[in-house]
Amino acid sequence: MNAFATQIISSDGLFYFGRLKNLVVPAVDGELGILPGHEEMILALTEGIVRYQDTKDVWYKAAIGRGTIQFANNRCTIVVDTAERPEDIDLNRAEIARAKAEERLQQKISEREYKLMQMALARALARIKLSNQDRQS
Amino acid sequence: MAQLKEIRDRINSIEGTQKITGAMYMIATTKLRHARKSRDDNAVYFSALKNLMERLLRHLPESDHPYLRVSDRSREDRRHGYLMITADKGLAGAYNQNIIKETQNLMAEQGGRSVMFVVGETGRRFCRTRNIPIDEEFLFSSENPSHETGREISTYLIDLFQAHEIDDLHIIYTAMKSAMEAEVRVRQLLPLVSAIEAEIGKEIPRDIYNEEFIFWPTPDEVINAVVPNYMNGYIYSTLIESYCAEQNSRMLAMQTASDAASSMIRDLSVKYNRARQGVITQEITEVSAGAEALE
Repeated sequence: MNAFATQIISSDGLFYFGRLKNLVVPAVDGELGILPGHEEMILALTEGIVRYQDTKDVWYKAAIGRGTIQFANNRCTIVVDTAERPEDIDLNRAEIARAKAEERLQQKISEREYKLMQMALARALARIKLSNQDRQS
Repeated sequence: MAQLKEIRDRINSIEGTQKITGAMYMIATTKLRHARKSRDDNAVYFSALKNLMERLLRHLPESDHPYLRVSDRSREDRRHGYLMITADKGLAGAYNQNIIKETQNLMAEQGGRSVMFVVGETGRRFCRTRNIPIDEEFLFSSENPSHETGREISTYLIDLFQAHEIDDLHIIYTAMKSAMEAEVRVRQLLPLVSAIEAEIGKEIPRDIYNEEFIFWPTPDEVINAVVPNYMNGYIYSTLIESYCAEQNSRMLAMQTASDAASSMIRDLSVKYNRARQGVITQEITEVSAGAEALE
């Protein structure tokens, strides 16, 4: 048992399907590492970066939106609203989204809109971070 | 002669209408292609989302979390929220009527007080003419469903639920049953209920052996974090599903209309030719009768 089957499903389709040796996901209270044979669990995920190592020892990264991770019987299912590879991220769009969200957060807005804007800002930041990491490496 | 002109005018007017329905058919076909693609892409996500929630609900220890608790208001007093997904435009066959009919059935069945949340202009217009009170601040278009719309709708509704403005929430939407067939579906979103339990009408016992899941840090915290996301994923997926059904239904309606126009034109052309022949025959008879009289 040195790998576990993983599915990453985003709202526009199956993002990743394969066997992984190592997986690091952004949970609500910090990053969480998952190795084969992990305990059964259901957790919420927050906007951020997932890192995963496949059976050929190659590491991949992706920016994800909010969602849920479930691990059962050595099988992992991640359901998120968005998932993007670094090369698919439109950095300009993310920068614009960040600026817009930050500007809106400065203004007087309803609590509901505040929450939405915070979520938008978190998504933009995750994308920008991943895109920058990708360029440096 | 008057009859001839009348028929000619009718043929012209039907031809005009046919041009419009033909153009609308083309537009709906193009839109349907896009809608079907995003619907197919979304299908995996939608079913994974539903399975995950089923699993979560099945493994959850007894909980009194607000998202799971049934309101303690009496039956007559209860405020039922209905999220009805209609189209922005009409001329889509029975698409809008089916949704409205199903919503009305549900409202009659549930009783109590109703709060309507309507997506799409057609549904809003219908409620206004029938004096069904709707939430006027809830203004969303059914055109081009996006995550943004899904998020806005779900946070709006969850806020109302948490403030006890509504005691439960049902969603009424149209799903594609197969590639060509659509079907109206009703689902209770809040408080959360298991779809399997709702279908068989009884509770699955919680104490049978299942995998032991950890809910970190606590089950309630997990629900707090997962449910809003589940809601917006669910609403987003139903918007996509409905939009696809809407375009499909409009395409079929326009095709039927164009076909009907063609057959009407055919019938009228036969009538026209017959009438024209009649006029000619009559003229010949008159001329020859006149000539005979002269001899």
